[in-house]
Amino acid sequence: MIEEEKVAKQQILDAREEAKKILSKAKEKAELMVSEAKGATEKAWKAKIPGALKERSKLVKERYDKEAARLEDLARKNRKKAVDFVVKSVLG
Amino acid sequence: MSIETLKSDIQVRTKETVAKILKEAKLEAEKIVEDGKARAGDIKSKLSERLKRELDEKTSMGGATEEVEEKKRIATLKQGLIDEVIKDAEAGLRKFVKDEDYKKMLPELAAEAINELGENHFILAINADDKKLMKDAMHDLQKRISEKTRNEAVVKLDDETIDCIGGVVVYTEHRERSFDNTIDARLLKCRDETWQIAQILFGGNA
Repeated sequence: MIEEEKVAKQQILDAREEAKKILSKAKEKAELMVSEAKGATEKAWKAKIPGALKERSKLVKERYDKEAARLEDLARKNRKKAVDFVVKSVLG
Repeated sequence: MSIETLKSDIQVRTKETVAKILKEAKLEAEKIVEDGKARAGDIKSKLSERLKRELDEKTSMGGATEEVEEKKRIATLKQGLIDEVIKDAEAGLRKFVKDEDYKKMLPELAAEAINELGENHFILAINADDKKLMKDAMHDLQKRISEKTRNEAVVKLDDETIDCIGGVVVYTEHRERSFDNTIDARLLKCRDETWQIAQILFGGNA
């Protein structure tokens, strides 16, 4: 084998080695993207939980506060009628 | 072919092969990265969906507990408002027993209780304030009962007075049976039917 052939063979082997490195880096990058996406998504949602629970509590409380105010208002308006009803019921 | 040409040919082909190997590797690498991007996007969207569902479940579970607590609060509020009505009614009844109309009503309460017991001998228990009023009405009451039962009715006042707003507790002669027709007992009966009071207070939402 002439010297040039030996050199060529080595250059091709080097190129294959380089190709392997390129592919390995690409795979690493892809895996990193996947794991980062997973981590970032979980982190973002976990961060939302306390806020969402708080918001839900606020909404429930607001709804029942409104209901309480409505009932109190009705009771205020109808109180005399209700008292008269009780008195009349007792007196027959 | 001369040796020089052969050498040059080897170099050219080697260069081409090396370039081809690297080009293919780069293309493959780009594809791998693109696939990674797509997988990351897919994971992000599926995971978001799942976590959103979990979050909804969590908030609705937490919400359900809060709803129960809030419903209890509303029930307590309603009961409080009903109790206030009963309290006002009681105050009104305490005023009423000082009125002239009550003078007419007391013997009627006694007659009603006597009718319920359906015997001839009765003992009437009343509060201290009503003692004179009842004494004055006794003769008429006894007469009415006798006429109604067509028997000689004996109606006596209990020596002991009772603690009540007004009205009367009637006992049979040996106190085996009694009928509580006090204002208090009638109010208590009314308290047992709070749904009617609630209906008036809160309308259709009672």
